[in-house]
Amino acid sequence: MMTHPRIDEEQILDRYLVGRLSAEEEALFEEHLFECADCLEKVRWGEELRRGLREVAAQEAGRAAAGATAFVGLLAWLRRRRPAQLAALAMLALALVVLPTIVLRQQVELHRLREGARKPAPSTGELAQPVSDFLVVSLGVVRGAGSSEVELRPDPTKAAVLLSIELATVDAGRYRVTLGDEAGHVLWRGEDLEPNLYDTLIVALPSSFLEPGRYRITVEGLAAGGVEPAGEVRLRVLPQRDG
Amino acid sequence: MSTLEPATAADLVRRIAAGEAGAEAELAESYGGALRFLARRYTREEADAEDLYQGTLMLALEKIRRNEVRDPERLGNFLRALAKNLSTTQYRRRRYAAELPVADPPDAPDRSRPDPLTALLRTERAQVARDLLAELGVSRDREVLLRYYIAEESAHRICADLDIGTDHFYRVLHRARQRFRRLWEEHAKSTPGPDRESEARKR
Repeated sequence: MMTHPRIDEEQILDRYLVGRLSAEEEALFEEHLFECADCLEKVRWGEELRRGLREVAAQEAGRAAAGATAFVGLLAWLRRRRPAQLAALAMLALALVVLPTIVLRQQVELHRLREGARKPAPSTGELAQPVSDFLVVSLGVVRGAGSSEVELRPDPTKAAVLLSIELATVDAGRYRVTLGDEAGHVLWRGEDLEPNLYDTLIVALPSSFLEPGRYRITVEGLAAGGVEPAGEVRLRVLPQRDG
Repeated sequence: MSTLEPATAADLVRRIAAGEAGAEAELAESYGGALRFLARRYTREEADAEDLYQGTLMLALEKIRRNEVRDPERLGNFLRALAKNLSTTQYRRRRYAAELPVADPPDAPDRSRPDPLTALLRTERAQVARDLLAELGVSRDREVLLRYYIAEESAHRICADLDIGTDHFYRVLHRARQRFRRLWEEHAKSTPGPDRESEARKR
């Protein structure tokens, strides 16, 4: 029998919503829903909220796909997945929500820069795999020069690093993000980046790209009248931890 | 919505089996809310959920009339098990039908597209969720919601990453649920319509 103290202490309701109860717990909780109008109301609204968020993610994924032809193959791959693999889809949908830019194009570009064009860049076919294992690093809200430094310690087990750059205000439809080193050399530049639903620009970098050192990330708005500075973030990449 | 004590549940089973007038309606009234919720959870489309709900109720009444309820005091558990089994059967039938090399008749519903009610509810639900996300001033709270409900990351991992306690984490979820409900109700008031009203009646 499921009691309210147990529901509260073991966070049964929230775990139920995301399918994290054992079969036995789930059966007991669902039986409890027939006896408790209060829990039924809570779980019903929780379910609506969860569906709503997923629908937002799906819509954003569709929007990103419409503007990013490189994702077409990826979405076709997704459509072939079974409902049981929804977690993978959900993870990717989240990635698409925070990835309005064309990650694959960025990866090709980054690869070319890193290798100094000595080796051919990987084909989009090779890259058209879902990236689900990444480290998300929030760089906070970008403001003018002189902002505090964000430290990042790369995780060698992650394939990519997603830098999340929140804009203080959105004055332009498109932005340019430039990653430079301490000496002022441009290491990478992303053009025409569109802020996502949360006024945030996301830059995806292969984990191996960021070697220890200090970097400067400059954000500029691309408006009809020209380029306007939008802010700057300083990033310090620490050496990977041993072991 | 009312709920029944175990002894009352057993009494209701007895009265339905005895053919007492009104007892069947009482079953739907007392257990319909939870049953409808579970039917929706076990299916992907609103229309399938309604089929499952109706099918479960009919089968339950048949079994009660035939005295096939082993534990009448746990009527909720009985209804839940029936709904679960029926949903599995419904899914298998649909999958089997999809594998048959027979062309659908021209007027057959297109199962690859959501039915109009589902599509409408999805749009509205997404709008309310967008409003909720826009209202959340603290970006960390948005991240909690997205990572828990969409990415399905564990609470433990999210709390560790964001350096927040589990109390705060569950408070964010609790507040978001309440706020979502209020926004939905405000949204419903501003956009009345026959579909919305029928849906609201089912709630």
